[in-house]
Amino acid sequence: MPLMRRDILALPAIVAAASLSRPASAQAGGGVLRIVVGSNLRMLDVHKTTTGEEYIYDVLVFNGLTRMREDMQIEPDLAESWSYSEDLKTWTFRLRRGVKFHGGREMEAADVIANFRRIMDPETASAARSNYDMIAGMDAPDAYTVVFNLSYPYGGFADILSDRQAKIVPREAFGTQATQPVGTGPFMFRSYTPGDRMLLARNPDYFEPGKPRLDGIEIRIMPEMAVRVAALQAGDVDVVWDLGPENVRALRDNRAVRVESIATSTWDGAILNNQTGPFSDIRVRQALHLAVPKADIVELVLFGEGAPTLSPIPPTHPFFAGDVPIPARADVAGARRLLAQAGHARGIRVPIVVPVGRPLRERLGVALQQLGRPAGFEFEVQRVPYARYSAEVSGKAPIYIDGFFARPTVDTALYPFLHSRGSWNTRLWHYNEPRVDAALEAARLTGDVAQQRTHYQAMQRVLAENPASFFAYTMNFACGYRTTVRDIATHPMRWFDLRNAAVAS
Amino acid sequence: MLGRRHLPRTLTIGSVVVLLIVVLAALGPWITPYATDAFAVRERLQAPSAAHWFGTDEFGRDVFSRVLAGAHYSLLMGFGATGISLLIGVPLGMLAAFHRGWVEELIMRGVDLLISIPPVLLGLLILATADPGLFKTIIAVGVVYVPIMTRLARAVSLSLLAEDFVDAARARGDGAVRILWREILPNAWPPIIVETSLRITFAILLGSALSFLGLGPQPPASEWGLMIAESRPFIEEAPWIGLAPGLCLCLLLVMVNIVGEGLRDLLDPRLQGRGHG
Amino acid sequence: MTAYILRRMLSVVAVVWAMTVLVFCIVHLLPGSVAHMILGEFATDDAIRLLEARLGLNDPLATQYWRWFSGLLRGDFGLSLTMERPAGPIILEALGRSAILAGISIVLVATIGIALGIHSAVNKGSPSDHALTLAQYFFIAVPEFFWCILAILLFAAWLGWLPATGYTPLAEGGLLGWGRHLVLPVATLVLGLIAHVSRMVRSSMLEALDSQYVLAARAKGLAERIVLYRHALPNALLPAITVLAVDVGLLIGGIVVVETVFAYPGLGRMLVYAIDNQDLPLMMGGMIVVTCVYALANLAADILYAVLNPRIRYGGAAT
Repeated sequence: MPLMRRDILALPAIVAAASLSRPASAQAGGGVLRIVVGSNLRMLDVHKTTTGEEYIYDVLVFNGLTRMREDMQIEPDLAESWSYSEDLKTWTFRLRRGVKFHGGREMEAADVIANFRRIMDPETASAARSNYDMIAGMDAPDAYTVVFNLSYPYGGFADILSDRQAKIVPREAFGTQATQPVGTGPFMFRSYTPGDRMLLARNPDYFEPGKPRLDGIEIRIMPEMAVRVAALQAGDVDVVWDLGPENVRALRDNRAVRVESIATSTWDGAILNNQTGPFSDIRVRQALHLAVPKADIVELVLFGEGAPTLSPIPPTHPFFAGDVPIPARADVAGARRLLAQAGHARGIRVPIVVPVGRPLRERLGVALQQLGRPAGFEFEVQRVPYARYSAEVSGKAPIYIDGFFARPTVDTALYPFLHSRGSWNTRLWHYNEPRVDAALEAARLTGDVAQQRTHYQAMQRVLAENPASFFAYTMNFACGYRTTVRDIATHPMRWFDLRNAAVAS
Repeated sequence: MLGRRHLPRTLTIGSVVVLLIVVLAALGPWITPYATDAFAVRERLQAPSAAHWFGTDEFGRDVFSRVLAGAHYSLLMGFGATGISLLIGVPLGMLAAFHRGWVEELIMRGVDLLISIPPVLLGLLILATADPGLFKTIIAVGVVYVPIMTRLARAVSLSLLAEDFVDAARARGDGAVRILWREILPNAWPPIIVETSLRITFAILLGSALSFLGLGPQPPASEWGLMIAESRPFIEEAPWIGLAPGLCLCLLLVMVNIVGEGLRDLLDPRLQGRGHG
Repeated sequence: MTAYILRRMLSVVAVVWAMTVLVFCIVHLLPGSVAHMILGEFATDDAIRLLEARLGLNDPLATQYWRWFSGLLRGDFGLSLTMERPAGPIILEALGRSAILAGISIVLVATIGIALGIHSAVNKGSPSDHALTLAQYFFIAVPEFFWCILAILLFAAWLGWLPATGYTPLAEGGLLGWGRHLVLPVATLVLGLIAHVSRMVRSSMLEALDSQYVLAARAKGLAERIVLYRHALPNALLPAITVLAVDVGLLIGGIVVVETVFAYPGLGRMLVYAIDNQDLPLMMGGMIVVTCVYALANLAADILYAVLNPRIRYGGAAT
């Protein structure tokens, strides 16, 4: 169960830094690792990154206060330990000493504070801003201590500091991050040719002795999936990030290649507008769930590389409400009845917006279009470039296909999305269900994992009755590795921890 | 002059095949063995067989049915777009030839401008301003080829306007529209027909290229360029999904091209070597 | 002659200027909001208004146009909206890489196309002529994007290896490494164009071989080789120049597709990226640069044509 979450509050209040005793011999000489991705890295300013490709780079060049391991456990990163007050509103982080920015000065508490100020500044327009809206104030009693004062109790605060954009850069160099990024990470930025490749070099002064082993990393960009796969088979690259489900099957027989596919809480779905249009009627939303069996969707779109779900909580997670049935067969008559009750006896004709160039989501749109038809849903597929989503589609179109990456905590994966005052809620579906609000608030405030589980499962039961949207599936994340690549694990957050990795020449 | 004796034969073959494709395309949606968008989860990615001549795609849809039902898109784009460029370009060209002076300047400089944008880019730009769809693609491709038609119509009209019968019409006091319609147009046809038939190939090519880039008919339409684009993730596992529409597209293009060149040799041997993109 | 060339150059300048107006207008007709694009999903209405004011998006279009155009004149393409880095270097670097691709392709198309065309014409009716004609029909008809699919299929699925994709700078990979990366994209680009050019050369060569002066040269008893290469060929090549200029336009179209498929970081792919991401400065700059290149290619063809053909009427734009 890769998504098993540590019960955040059951740990001792102070987490000691993990032992750093690694044999000093494990130094450099690890070769250059060539990773291939599908689209351009657009933004190098870590606080403003928004795509999966950029997040890979984020964790290689920068560090946050905490770090998430492959088993979703939180461990110290720039902070070597932390403690929190009884009421969970005051969090104190003690910083590691002697951490140097690439080729520069030492990182200190003032940097941490300036970085979070920047992330929280609306002018920066960081996608992570709303995650940190509980921060009411920050303090630096000394150069190696940062105190966060929260406006409400938040048990998962150390967890969300491991998130993608929450990285620390020198406070005097904010303006040049987009062109000359500087961090503290195991690798240093060397060069970037938009559309072609990014080069990273080993950081010889990295604060963990003996790491990293790799001499450098090359992130190459190849838009065509078939070409990425062929390049892996030919040995032109060492790692393919994010294989399509169809490639997982095709590559399994190849001896020079290792494929890893793991369950994640990254989800795709049809976003239904609860405020206007036909889906503002709960019966129409229910009808869609009766009309389209999610199991068929998983088979058609993902070739089985994923699982039907009720909410962003994946079925592999202990909080998943396994007792709520997800229908395996279409109930066309039931769906038609509900549509008729909602005043759509002759069916519904509405465009379904699909993002261009994302094959899985395009397939999801086409699958819904076809599977919804017998019950009277006449969807007209409309492909719109993803760039236009935020201005024209999000929160406006009656139904559209979208999806979201795994988040560091269950709370951050649910609360902003499903709480009526959540930051994503108004950007997506305008869902308003007091019972869900209550469950989310209760789960956030309790420290007890068993109780959290009860609340979250109650929430899923309500969601099954009153669906906010069509959560189609949580999907696996798969990568292909040459067998010469050592010590990389596929990370459920869709990035790589390459501190120990090496390539055999 | 080249090979006059054997060209009519290729022309005949080409015409018959194109006609056959047109008939199939017209009947296509009604004679497909399977519904073009019916899923069959258990029959996904099957190789060509007696039941599925061109195999099945990632949704278990019958590729043969989809190719058949998709033929009309290419033809509509080819003939439709060329028709548009004719309807706009020929009158503009004749007008420019008749009204020398600022009208001509205006039209011809506009033509110079449009023709100096590479076709695919012009198509991309036009389509970037609107949500994509079959008819928008047809219009975009049509607009791209307007300048070529305008130039040709103007050149032909200019030489015709110098002929005696036009002077006679002028002497009778005929108006511009009447002269262009009654005297020029009937005589200007042969080179325009030749250009048109050659143009169709390029219109089909450009239309399917735009469609391949996602700017044509939208899924689940089975336009061939779109089918090829969608087949890419399966190119290793199930190459037939992309090969079938691709080869059909090539066949159509070869045949339309043969007909175009055959017509040219038949109608206007002097024009050989002038066709271009 | 000089006057003709000057006038053509002037018209190129006029076309490029008109193009800046056209591109600017079309780009500002595009649906979607730039500020939304930059600020993303969480933009508040206030933040959007602020940014729009800062970017000058509320100024009259004429003012915005002038700001952009005067920047262009100074060689300033503005700042890429999505990457927050200057658009100029991005465009020019991409142009440089595409120019390598296009340059090699055009040279190959010209030499191979002309050679095959002459061969066909001289050996008219021979089996090799028939084979070439058949091949031409086929190759002209295969779209670049289908070639790309076929190439991937051939190498990836059937052969199990792939010639290098992407791009290596000359300084890094050496001549071999640099060249390896060009094989696939160039091959895909030139097949159709070679067919096109050789077909044109064949028919103009046949026309030239039938002409009075070739008959006269033959009558004078000149050696066949001299008749071919001194008399027929120069005349047959004239139309080829025009065709090549037109092919530059087709090449640019092909490059858009080929660069995407083979991960070649050139101008075509940059343009598709800019359009997909509504990166207006990149989009406008890229379009202008492409138009310039295309206009210059046509100018070069016209001048070459004028120089080679003493009979051209310098009088005007007959077509």
